[in-house]
Amino acid sequence: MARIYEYQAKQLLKKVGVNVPAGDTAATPDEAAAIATRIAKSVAVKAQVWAAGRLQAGGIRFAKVPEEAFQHAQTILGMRIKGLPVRKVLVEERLDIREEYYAGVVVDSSMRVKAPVLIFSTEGGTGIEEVAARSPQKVVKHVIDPLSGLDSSQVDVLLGKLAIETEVAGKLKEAICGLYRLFREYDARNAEINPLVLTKEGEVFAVDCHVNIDDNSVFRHRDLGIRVPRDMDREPTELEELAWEHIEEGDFRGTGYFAQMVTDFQPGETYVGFHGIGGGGSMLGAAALINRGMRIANYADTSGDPPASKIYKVIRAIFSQPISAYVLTGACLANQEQWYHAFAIVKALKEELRHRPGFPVIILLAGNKEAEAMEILREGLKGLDIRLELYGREYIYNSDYIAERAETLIAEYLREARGTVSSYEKRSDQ
Amino acid sequence: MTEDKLEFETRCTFVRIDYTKCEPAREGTSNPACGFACVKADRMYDRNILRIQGNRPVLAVRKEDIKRLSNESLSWEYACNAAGRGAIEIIVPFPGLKEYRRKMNLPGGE
Repeated sequence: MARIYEYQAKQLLKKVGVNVPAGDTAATPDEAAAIATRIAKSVAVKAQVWAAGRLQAGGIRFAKVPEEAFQHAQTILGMRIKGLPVRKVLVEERLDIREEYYAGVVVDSSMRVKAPVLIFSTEGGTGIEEVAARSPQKVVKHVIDPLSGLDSSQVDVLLGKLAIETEVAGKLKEAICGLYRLFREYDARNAEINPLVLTKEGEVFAVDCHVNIDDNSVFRHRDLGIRVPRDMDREPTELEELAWEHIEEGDFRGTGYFAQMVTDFQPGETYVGFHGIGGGGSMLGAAALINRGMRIANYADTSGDPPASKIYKVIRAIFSQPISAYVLTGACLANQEQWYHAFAIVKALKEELRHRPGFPVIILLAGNKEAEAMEILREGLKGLDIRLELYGREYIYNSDYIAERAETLIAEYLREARGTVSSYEKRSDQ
Repeated sequence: MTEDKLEFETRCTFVRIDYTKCEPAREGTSNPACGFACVKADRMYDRNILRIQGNRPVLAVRKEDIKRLSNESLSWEYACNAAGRGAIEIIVPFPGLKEYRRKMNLPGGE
């Protein structure tokens, strides 16, 4: 699921006829003050980051005058919320709220449902799961037929189950139908307004909202500016954008997934380039490395039988990081012939490691054509001055051993190549 | 006059076969030491893109069909390096990567 920011979701809501508070985004305190001046009312200054709990973290502040908006924007724009830097704030009018509701359209992919579900609650502002657990009588649901869509009469029936004034229910219905239109038109996986508020003037507004777009539909919505359609809690890095553009985008031959686990590489820290094949084996391998205190620079996955050219590019991306070892845990037993991985690895490592003597390379490669793949690796990498260890299917469940070997080889390599010790060793000495 | 190289593109790669390095092409032998390893690899790992003609590997399909047919196994280059004289080069472009490495002061950016 690809995320969009609150301000983007509000622009979409506005397009489909749902009221949103007047406001705009600012990247500087001056811009924030100018927006507050235009609004000429109390405003909320809201950090635009993909993190929950912004209010508690001080990422949402209220200002009565533009000068105050300036100060709040100055504070918020320098913040990191849950590790994420704030680069934009949304400055919008502060509303006088009478009631808070929740409205959401969420794809329920469970076998039982497999359809979008409309959820509405008379209590908003907090997590819907929490409300459903505490006060189930406040939450109503309707499974939407994906072929016929949502009919406004179905919303009437749903709201009729709750004690809501007729006039208010009519306005809520309009907002809910608008939310569904957004969900449908933008191929969302979920679209939520929380809280959906009733103001003291009797109008319904979307005060906060979350919209996630289906990864596979992002190409249909270029206007949203989603550069890497993936469920991430931060903006993609430059390397991730390159990898997406030149490995994954438009090439549906298997997976060539590449995501960085570190975005601020520190000098003196030791990082491992990680390459997995298939979810289970990859997770085991990555977890084993992390459990031993190693920092993996990235998470990569080449499963689903990608061509060797695609695998090769993923390895090139892995080596475009300050790594001190390359570890592959490929325990994909069924659906691909591993000799393609072998060809890609040989070509990439021969190009990358010609001038890096002693570099640690640990490869666990199991699956179809494993023996042939191993032979290709052994022959192809023969003569390359690296610390190479190859493991086959008997090591699939022995990830801890693979991690232990990685740790040992890295320590040897760093001592020999740089006359230094790895950051893991430093930590374990302390 | 016979061409001294064969160049073609697959979907994501650029392939160059240098006949001046290719043993059977250079020596005109039908029984080279490499055993036409590239063509054998093609049969085993790729999609019958190459064949032997006039003691050299040539295209077995039309150039315009290669992008659709080849599975980009990278096996031709490997086979020629392993059994022949390194006459096949497969370039897999990754635009922007070198510049990125240069900017990040990483190996391979120079």
